[in-house]
Formats: sequence, C-alpha cells, structure tokens
Amino acid sequence: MRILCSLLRWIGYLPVVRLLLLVEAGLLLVLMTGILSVSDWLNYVGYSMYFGTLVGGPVLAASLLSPERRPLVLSRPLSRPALMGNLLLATGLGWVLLAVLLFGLVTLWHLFTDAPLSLTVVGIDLGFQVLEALVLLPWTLLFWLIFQDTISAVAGIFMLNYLTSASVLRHLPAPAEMIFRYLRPPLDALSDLARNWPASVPEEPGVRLLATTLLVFLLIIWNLRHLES
Amino acid sequence: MPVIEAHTLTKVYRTGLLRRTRRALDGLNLEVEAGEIFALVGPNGAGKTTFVKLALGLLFPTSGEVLLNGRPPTEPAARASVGFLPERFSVPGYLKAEQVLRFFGELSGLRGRALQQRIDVVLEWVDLREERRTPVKAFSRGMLQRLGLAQALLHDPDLLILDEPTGGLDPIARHEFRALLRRLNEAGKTIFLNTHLIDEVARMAHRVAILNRGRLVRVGSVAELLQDETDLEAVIVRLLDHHADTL
Repeated sequence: MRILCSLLRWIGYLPVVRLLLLVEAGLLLVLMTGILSVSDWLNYVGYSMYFGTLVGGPVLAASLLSPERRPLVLSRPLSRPALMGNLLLATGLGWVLLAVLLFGLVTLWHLFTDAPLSLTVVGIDLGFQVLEALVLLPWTLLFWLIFQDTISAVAGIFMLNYLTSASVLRHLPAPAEMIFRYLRPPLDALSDLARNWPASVPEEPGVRLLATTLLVFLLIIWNLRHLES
Repeated sequence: MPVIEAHTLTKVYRTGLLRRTRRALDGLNLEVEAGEIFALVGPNGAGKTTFVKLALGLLFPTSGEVLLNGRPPTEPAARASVGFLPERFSVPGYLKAEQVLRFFGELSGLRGRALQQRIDVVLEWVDLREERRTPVKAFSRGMLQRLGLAQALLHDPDLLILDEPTGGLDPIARHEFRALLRRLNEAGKTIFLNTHLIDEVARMAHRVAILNRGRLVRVGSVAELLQDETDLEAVIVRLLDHHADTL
C-alpha cells in the first residue's frame, strides 16, 4: 500500500497528469455552462482518457524505468513484479478516482440545478471510458518496454491501431488478417461491448479482450525478465 | 560477518541474434567488511558495474553467489540495509528536492513524521536544507550528486554502494563530496566505492580490489599495494599489465 501511495504521489507530480486534470476541469466547466451536451461531454472525457493514457502511460514508464533511473528505483526494497504491478494499479486507480470525482461533481450539479441527464447513463458511460483507458495501459507500458522511448511507444500504438483497423484488415490475406485482428488492443473489444450494452454480450469481443490481455500480460512478464540486460 | 560476500561469482552475458557470450565476471571471490571504505577499481569493461548490479539484485549470477549481510540481494530485507547511488543520478527536473526524497523514502517503507524527520536529517547531512523546495533542474552537478547521496541515506542503511560517485564533479565539489563520505564512514557506514579514479582510492579507501576482465587481480589495503612505492596509479597499472600478460 505504501508503494502504491508513493507511486500515486509520483504520478501526481507528472506535468502530463496535471495538464490532463486541467483539461477535465475545463470540460466540466463547459458542460455546466451549457456549451457541451452531456453526450458530447462524455465523448470528450473518453478522448481525453484515451489520449491521456496513450501519452501518460509511456511518460510514467519513462519517469520510473528509463535506463538511468531503473537501478535507482529497483534497488529499493521491493521486487520487480511489485513495481510493475503497482505501476499498473497506481495508474488504474488514478483513472478510477478521476471518474468517481467527475461522477460526483456531475451528480451534485444535477441535484442542485436539475440538469436534464440520466445519472445511470452517465455512470455506465464513464465506467466504459475508464475501462477503455485501463485496458490501454498495459499496451502503453509494453510498447515503452520494447522501444524504451516515449515517442516511439506512442507512435507504435498508433501504428498498431492503424494496421488493425477494419479498412486495412480487409485487404490482408486470411491468416494475417486473423493474427492482426487478435492483436488489436482490447479497447476495441470494449467499444464493441459498450455499443451493444445492455444487449447480450457478443462472444468475439470478449474472447479478444481475454486473448489480448493475456498476451500483453505475458509479454510484460517477458520484458520484466529482460530488464537486466 | 562481511557485509558483501561474493563466492565464485560468474556472470555471462548473451547478446545479439547469435547469442554470443561475454564473460563479465569470472569466478570472483570478494569480501567487504563492516565499517570500511572499500574501493573496486579496474579499467572499463572489467566487470565493476556488473558486480554492483549483481550485489543489488538487479542482475542474476550465471553461477556462484553474492550475499548482502548473509542474505541474497533478491530478498527485500537484504536490500533494505543498502543505500545505492548510481553513476548518473537522474530524476525529472520539475521535481523539488524534497519531493524526490519523499518518493524514494516511501519506496523504502518510510512515511509520515518518521519520513519527514529523515528528510530533514539527510538534507542537513548533504547541506541542501536551503534548497529543499528548489526544482532539481536548477541544481548543479555537485548538488544533484549530494541529493543522490541523500536518497541513498534516507532509510539509514548500514552499507552505501556508490557507483562512480565523483565522476563529472569539479575539484571543489569532489573535495566536499569526499569529506562528506568520510564523515559518513566515521558515523559507522560501510562504503563500497566503484570507481576508476585512482586518486580518490588513494585518498579514501581502506582496502582496494583490482578487477580486470572479470577476474580479481589483487585485493588489499592501500599500504599493502603500495609497499615501498608512492604512486598508487603506477602500481595498479603495472598489476593490470602483468595480469593481462598472464591471460
């Protein structure tokens, strides 16, 4: 728990996180002044969480695990999996806390001004936005571990997203199409779930979510074993 | 009991697509006693940094073992007795000195009032009390190195492992840093110096180990190495040349 609190504090020091909090505050303000509709606001919150994770994940990894800082951090009395596990948990907890805070503020706004919105819809949508940001996290850390560079990690994920987009996939031969389809970040699967919610959950996105999360988890473990070289 | 023990310690790196092997350490036996300033010297590629990483549990030996206070360094309890200052102490520049110390203190299990007290003590030790709220990017190289030493001292370890601690410092900063290390040693800390600065070794170390191509060339006190000579650098170079001839 101490490690977790410490990492949360470290995350709070990052300028990219502070910028993101400012963006969220700005979005909330334009929602309350009526410039944005609730659905547009939820969309923009989703975008900010997605891009915040895309950039913030590698930035956080770099701030803790760059070659010159890695020995400094890892020589502390904690094990490597504990650090990476807490890194994931800390970043994830940050998003959850932010979503709870946003939901709390919107609820207060709704109660005091009787603003026309459904708290259930807002809650579920915010939940999906957080989940999408959370499942992108391991990918951002993984790409950073592979490239050891923030810009390359962000560019790598953009490239993967492009290569696994439907417009590219349909031009590929069947075996390659299948491989790339299953390499798609799990957030697409979550988007499918969100679109179909609350209808019955389609099987394929769920399987893909499990498969890709497992793959990412295994690759992170593999990378951790190679942190020494 | 020795604070650091290495028994037939060997580390082989496998690199590249063909997994070519490179023997960084080859059957090293070494003991560092409590309370001494011990220097590990050797040319580039001798295996000094590999030894430090093995001692900190950041690398795993190919064979043999290294122990910290009788325990393998992979045990968190073993690492809790060690403070480490890497060659290049690097933290994000927007952090203030106190924030850096708070982060590393929490990673070491300190918190609350105890952590605040330790931060005050170590800032006093390294003479950075006035700069506690200064962002690190405004620090000189010497100040940054002192902050690095402060984070290594936070959890009050018995053993300090310092990797090239005065490299890149100007002569005055180097002099001040050495004085600080002497004070810490007098206060009971064991100091393990990984350095290639012979002048530093001659001025500070109680005992010296010379490493070349992963093997121990000689270990002994500065007086034992010097015998009747006065130039430690010349002695070490001669020992290294002789060792290279025997390989």
